[in-house]
Amino acid sequence: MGKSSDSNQEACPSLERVQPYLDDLLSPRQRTDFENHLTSCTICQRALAQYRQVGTLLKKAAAEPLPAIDHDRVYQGAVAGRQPSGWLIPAAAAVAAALLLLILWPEPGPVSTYTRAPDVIVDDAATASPRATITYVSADAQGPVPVDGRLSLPENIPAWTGESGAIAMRIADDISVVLLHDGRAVMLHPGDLSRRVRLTQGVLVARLRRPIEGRFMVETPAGSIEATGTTFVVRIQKDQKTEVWLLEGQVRIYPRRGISHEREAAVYALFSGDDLEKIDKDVSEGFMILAEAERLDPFKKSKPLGWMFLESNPSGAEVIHGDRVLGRTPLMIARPAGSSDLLISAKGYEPVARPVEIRVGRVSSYQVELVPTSTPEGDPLGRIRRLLAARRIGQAVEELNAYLEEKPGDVKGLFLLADARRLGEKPREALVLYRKVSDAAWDHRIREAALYEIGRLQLHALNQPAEALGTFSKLKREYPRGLLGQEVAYHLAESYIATRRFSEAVRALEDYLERYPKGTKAQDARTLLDALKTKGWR
Amino acid sequence: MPDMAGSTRRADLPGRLIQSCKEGNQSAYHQLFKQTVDDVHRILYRLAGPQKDMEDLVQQVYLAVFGSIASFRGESAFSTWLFGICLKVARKHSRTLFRRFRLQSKAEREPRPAMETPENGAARAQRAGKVHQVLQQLPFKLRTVLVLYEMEGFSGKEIARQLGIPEATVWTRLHHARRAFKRSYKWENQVTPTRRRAPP
Repeated sequence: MGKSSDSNQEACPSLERVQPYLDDLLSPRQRTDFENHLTSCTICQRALAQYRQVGTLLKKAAAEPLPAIDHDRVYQGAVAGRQPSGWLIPAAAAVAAALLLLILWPEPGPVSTYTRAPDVIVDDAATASPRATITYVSADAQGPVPVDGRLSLPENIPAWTGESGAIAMRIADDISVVLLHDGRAVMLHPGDLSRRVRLTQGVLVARLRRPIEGRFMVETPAGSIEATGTTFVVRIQKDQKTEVWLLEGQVRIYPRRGISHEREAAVYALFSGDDLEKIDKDVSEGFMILAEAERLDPFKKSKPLGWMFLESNPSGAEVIHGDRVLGRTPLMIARPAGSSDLLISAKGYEPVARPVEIRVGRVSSYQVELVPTSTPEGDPLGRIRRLLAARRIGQAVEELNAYLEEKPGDVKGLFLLADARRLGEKPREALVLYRKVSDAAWDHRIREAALYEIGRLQLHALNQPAEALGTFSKLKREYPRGLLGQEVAYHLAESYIATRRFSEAVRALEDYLERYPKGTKAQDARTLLDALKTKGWR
Repeated sequence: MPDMAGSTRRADLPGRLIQSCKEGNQSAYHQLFKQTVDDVHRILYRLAGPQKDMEDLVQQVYLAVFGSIASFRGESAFSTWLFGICLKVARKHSRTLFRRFRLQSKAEREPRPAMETPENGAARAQRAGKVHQVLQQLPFKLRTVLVLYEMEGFSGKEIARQLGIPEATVWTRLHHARRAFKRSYKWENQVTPTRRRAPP
């Protein structure tokens, strides 16, 4: 159970039994003995009461409701493979060291990016209720996912566009919708023949080619609009009032709390939750928005295109067609329908030629398994590096030990062993090995990288900020133009913060931003600097 | 996540749903998400504390789940596998220096908790916030065991199974964790535990 170290309390030899007693871990005999002891020992009584209160506090905290999160956003991001923002982006701090190691020993590294399709129109958009079939999606839009071979927007999943982006979709054979201008909408399926779209911001252009069976409704924060064979534009204002430009046919407007109004084209209406606030005959702005949406008209026939979704293991491989790089895996891209041959290539892996067949308006998915290139003669560390890249740490360590038995003191071998220990979450062992490397390395790049790893371990894994500060200061002093200069400058600032030397942290962050205004950590540095300055540090 | 919550435990996900996910069925993904997201959110909240980027944390779990469900071999319960991913994400998050810095600043800025007695909502929420703050100061291994035992209602045996450690280690960590929590928590404004009167 470890040593008893309850502060501010005189030692009682039975203090160590308090928690086992609380958790019912004592034998009946021990329990009786301890209960007898408890009646006369105020130290143990107090400790028991406090431990009980720890449990009570935690249980009460557990009963507090959790802050809400946007499930749709989370799901959408996870399905689209989007990287979350902020500090969780995988080990940006390790990028520099990885870079250096790549320079020394080229190695493939996974790159996790998700490329959205370029601006294209896809035809043959037969609809599959209750989903909306996407016919156009701009590069900055989010929401659509491949479903049953089509790029679709499932019900209850929000779709949103950027400021200048757009999503065009067909939500039934005769209904098309284009979302524009920072638009955000959710497809709802009421369960009958009706179609319903909830627009929460931005602009929506709706077209009905002919009177439809059932109803088509657009819900907005101010109420809803029901259409029967018509073309209309809806825009949500900042104060949540709704503007409608009725350009063809008829609509019925239902303010949330007021009575409904039927209107015929051409008319502009502004309504709040209570009632219509404005009616106008000028619909020119509506026609301008419609013209913008027309170029994406989901009913329009266009070039025969389809979608291709290509994944590779590992990801990050280049996808090449002819002499043109289409992007990196995982890749979602619109391609002309028909057959073509692609080349999938990643450093350290055998390139793979893959014939693909793109069908009009459909998503064709392909997966490619990349095979590492055979280890060249005379490079026994190549295989070990690949094992590490595949996170097969145990096997890598075994092979490294064998290698180092043959070549004791080999710096590259030691460096890899240190990496293996670090990846295997053994930071202390890794630290010792990196130190050995930094002492023995004659190549300044290896020494710089080893020192950098020492600093990172001290700062992040071992909670030794003072030591990290020393290491990063030394790195800055010894390698003012080092390959890792940018990362060192940032970690130096972090070390100052961790040692609560906030004024020096401010200077270090300013220095970083001055030298690397577009650096990989520039945004983080600005956030930290703002936080420090807000608290009055200069 | 079935095994993850004391009173809110559900049965494990049906194998059919997991198989559909493995086959890349998007509606199965959505179904899996809907069935597990509350548990994932809760466990991350308790392990990582209140975070502005909680949505990103949850999203990171599902990025990992959707990205690697094909490799889930069913040797353990799905909930155990999912819980392992939550643990990894929370552990990684707890390492970031920025969080420590933010925590320090927050601790300096925030007033001490109010008296416990009039149990109003604000005081309760503030105390819960303080509890989470102290939790975040504990080493991750200790925090995990304390959260699972005291907040999630697991038994020592269940924790040992989930974390893949001996049960004795669970108790050792739990006792260290309680001791560390007791030491770090600002007790002075709390109602002091009543002392038992010593017999004459």
